[in-house]
Amino acid sequence: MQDEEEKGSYSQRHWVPPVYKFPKLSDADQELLRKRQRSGARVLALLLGAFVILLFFITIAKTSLNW
Amino acid sequence: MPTLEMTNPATLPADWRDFLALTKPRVMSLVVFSGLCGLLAAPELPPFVLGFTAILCIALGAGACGALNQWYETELDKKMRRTAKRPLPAGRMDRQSALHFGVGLGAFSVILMGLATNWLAAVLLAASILFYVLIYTVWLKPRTAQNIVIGGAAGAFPPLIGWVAATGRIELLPVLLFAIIFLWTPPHFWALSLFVRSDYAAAGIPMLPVVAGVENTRKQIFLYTLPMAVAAVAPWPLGFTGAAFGISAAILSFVFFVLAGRVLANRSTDPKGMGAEKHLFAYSVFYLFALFTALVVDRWVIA
Repeated sequence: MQDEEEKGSYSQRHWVPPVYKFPKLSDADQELLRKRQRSGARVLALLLGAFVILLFFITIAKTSLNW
Repeated sequence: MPTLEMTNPATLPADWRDFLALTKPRVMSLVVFSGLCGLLAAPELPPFVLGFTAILCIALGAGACGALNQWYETELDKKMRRTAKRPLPAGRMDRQSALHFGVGLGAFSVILMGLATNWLAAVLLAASILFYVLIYTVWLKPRTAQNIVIGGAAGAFPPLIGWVAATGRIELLPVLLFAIIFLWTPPHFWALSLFVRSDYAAAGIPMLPVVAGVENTRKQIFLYTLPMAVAAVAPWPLGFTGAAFGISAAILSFVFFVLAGRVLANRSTDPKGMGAEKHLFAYSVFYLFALFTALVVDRWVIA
């Protein structure tokens, strides 16, 4: 019985998550993808920076004025 | 190892401008303005940075409402010319991104409001977001012609939230400001829905002109103008504002009343002949801006 189970590959005996195959992008789409990733990362970085500065000033305001 | 081909490969991430469009910036501007006026009308003001954060949270909350509304109504938006070019119906963004963005923005705005100002303001902000999304968008809008009457409460919250963010208390004046926007919403929205009613009919949304007819809607617009005008002038005789606001509110409401009368007298059922409705819609936006500006000027400059 145990010998039978040991036959076959691991993926035949156990469930393994499927590997998704993404379709190949054209050069133009690759370029657009990179462009959007770059601009998205820039906007996110700006927003995060602004949020950190805002939190800093909120902390100052709340502690110094005990409001 | 099993492999699967992506059936709907959303391989291109949405542009950040599409995320911005998801927040309905034009609607947000009126929400932010009324919230700011509610904050500025309060008897005590918070430090600048906390007041700024309160207004920012109101704006983010409104953005979350817009995103979740568009996420839920993607299929409806595809059927209406006015909304077909939005990021979701136009296919520039996948729905899951819109849902995550809306929920994230809403949760962030409520938590930041609570931490920066007070938790009563945060609870009101959360209530307004949930009211807009669950009560108006999901429940009322597809079911009843009175959707905008009850759902208008969601848009009426910002001045109340602004006031509570500044003071930590709910008082009669911000409740009156809530009532003004609540009563202003039906004539404002019905004026719009009169000249785009074919869009609403195509999408199967039971807006009043679709369900009750054009003439009946015109009567309702005129009738709602009366309690709206009473609520607009009320802060003056109740002693919350001076004569400057009272007279401004009376003049602005009188013009609103005249334009609503022109809508009532109009007999055209063709959108091209609905100049009176288009004028009333444009004036209704100006009315709210002018009324709330008069309130702040009265309480700051004159009083």
